[in-house]
Amino acid sequence: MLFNSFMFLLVFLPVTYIVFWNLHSAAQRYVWLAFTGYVFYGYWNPWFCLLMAFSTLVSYFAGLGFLTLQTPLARRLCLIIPIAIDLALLGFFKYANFGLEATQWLIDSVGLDWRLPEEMLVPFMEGWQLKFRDIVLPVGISFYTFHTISYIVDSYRRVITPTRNIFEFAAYVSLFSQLVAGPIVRFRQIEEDLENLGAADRTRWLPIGVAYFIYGFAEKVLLADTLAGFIDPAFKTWDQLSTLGAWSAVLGYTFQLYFDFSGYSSMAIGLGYMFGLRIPLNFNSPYKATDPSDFWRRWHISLSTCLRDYLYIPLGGNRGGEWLTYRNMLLTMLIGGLWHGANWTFVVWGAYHGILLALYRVFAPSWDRLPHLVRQLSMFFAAMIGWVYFRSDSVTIANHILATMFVPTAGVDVLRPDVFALVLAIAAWWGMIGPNVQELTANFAWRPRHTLLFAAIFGAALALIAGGRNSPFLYFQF
Amino acid sequence: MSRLLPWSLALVIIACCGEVASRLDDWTFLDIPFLANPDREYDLILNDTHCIRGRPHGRFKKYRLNEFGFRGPEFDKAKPPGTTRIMLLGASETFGLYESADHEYPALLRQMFAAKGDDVQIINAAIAGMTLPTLLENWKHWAQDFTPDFVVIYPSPQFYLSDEAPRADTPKPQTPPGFHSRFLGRLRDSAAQAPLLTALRVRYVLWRDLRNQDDDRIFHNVPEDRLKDFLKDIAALAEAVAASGARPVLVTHAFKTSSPPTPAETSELTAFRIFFPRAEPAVMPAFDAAANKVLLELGRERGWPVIDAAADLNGRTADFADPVHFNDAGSEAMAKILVRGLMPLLQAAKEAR
Repeated sequence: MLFNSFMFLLVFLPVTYIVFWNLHSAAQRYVWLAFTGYVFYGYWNPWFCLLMAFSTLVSYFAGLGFLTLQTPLARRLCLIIPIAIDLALLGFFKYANFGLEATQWLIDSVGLDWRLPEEMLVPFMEGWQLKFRDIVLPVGISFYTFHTISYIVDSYRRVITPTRNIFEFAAYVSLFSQLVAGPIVRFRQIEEDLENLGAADRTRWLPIGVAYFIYGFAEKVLLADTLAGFIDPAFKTWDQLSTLGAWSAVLGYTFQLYFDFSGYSSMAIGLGYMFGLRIPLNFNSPYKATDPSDFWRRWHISLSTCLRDYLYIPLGGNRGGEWLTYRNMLLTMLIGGLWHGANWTFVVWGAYHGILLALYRVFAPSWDRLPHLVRQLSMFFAAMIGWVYFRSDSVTIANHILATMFVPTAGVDVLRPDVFALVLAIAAWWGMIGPNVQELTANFAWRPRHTLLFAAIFGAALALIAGGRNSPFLYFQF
Repeated sequence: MSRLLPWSLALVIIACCGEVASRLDDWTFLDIPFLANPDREYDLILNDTHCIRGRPHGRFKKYRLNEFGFRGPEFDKAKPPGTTRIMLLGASETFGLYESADHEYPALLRQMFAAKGDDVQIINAAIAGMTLPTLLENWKHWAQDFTPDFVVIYPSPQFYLSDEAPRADTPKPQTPPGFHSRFLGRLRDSAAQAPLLTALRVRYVLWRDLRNQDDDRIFHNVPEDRLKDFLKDIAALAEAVAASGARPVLVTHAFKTSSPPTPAETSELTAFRIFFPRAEPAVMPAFDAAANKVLLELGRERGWPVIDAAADLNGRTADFADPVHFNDAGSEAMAKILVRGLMPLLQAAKEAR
């Protein structure tokens, strides 16, 4: 179910909201949130719910283990086993095909005449054959796996006290607002709100929740989906694009991706507020960043902080000297890239950002002396080049688009270049100069003008959704 | 009152902004003028003096008609020398309904022949809702002037399960549509696609249409009189095509479900029944199969080639958007079948020349 669908807006959200606020204890609300999370998730494919339930149970029991078992060995087992199970599930569903293809490529490269199997018999299920190509990636698995792993690690580190209430934990994992595309919420970040859910104040959080949701709606439907209408046909004909067409498509995607994901995150935060849960920020005007380090403090903040806390620092961070710091940076970004999807394009994109971070570390003193505008535009340009790999289906396609951008080529332009330029200018202003959603909602107090502004945004967005051009959020694929 | 005012104003603003956004969106992506009042019937169909045909330069949403009112690119009426002209006659299955723009099977057929380097011109002369008797009038008074070499006829047997047997529609005067809200239209279209609302609508429409029907009016089995009508009409059209010097090529009609349908398929056929309330769900695929049988026999008797698309496509549920209309995958499969069926005919025609 998409936030930008009639089913969600007109049925799911009102029913969930009304029932939630008519329940009075925290326990009842945990059950309701967990239940609605499964309904929301099962709308894509009910079978996916089993996987999420399994992952939830494994992590929940690991949490109980931390509460009851005190020996170091037992605690380590409670850490390693559930993480291994979670990662095995993620690896199987997300990376099995990629791993097989990469291994086959390696085998072929060394000249061995050996074909890896394309299917296998399912253990304990007589007669069941599994074709690897038929494996479907459950939507949002990367996100809830991160939720459960962060819970286990934080419990192990005694940063949080694991909950004994299974419904509280299930509500945390399956919270529909951030279930399928983040922000990646750590248990410690909403633990307090979850504990106090029974006493949450509806009227206090509703106005800011609605404001976040509507601004996010505008980002997603009015900007990102409109940009998609111009650039998706261009990317479909990537081999016929002109230089102007390639630049337009890549620029358009740069803003589409930002407003799509930032819009989703704002809607998630707004929905969280509506249910008395303060979900952390995920974006802070990343195209205002002036260097790679700054960019990653502003883009997908919940992922970059998780990568920092659960990968970069455990790898040694910057504690082992310069070369080890570069290695850790590159490794973290490579894994961060691969987390986005099982494709070499994401590996290249991750490596590219790892190299950018390393270069910045080397040249920071000189770089930081450059004028602010030069640094901002250069960082924007660097991010945009990275998005070419992020958007393309293969490295070959990405290289072709980049070549078209830099070698004058005749060919196809985007649809309606004049209108596209206008939409792009609005997107560029909002993304690079204007206030972001948290700035727009700072010290928010509802005024009559908000009713009118939000009605205007809602009406326009409703028209575009009803026109059938609404698309799934780009980050759903991760 | 003071509490109601902002909310009333908000509703007015939602409606106004929705309307403006709908029109801007149509203008940007569909090239529909901001102040126009698009109407499918008026924009795509012209009630000419003698027949019903496509409106020249007609445009509606993804549909684009050329100067002769055919869906597809512009072309010269006079056939270029050395070119084989293939015209396709049919209803919405051929005109295109659920497929993406330029993905209806005649467009794919055009692309496939172009990719082969064959000098073949494809004309999609189909119009949504065209029954065989109406197609015959269209052929006599309009389509045959384009002197095609081959005329591929893809009939829609389901029309013969309507309340009355199909007759040639008589052209009526048309008036341009007045103002209507495109925002409301979009909301209505969205509602029509919602599974729950669709299910309720199907129940209501069937209840309304069937509550006063005598049981003997319901088709419990394949209605033989309708099958005879179908045979008579398809034969008349193919004969008219043949009489003009073109070669008719008949194509069996593909149907999504098996015959008899499974229980799961029956629910989809029940939804489709709102268009043909007299027919019980199982009768629809059965009638289609019976119509294909008589079509094959007709082709054999008269020596008209028949491409048996149904043999390949029937039951391939992933290729259909509803019981009779293709999706993108289905239209691609259909185009491939037609290329395969037409190639030997084109080859033979070339050799004969």
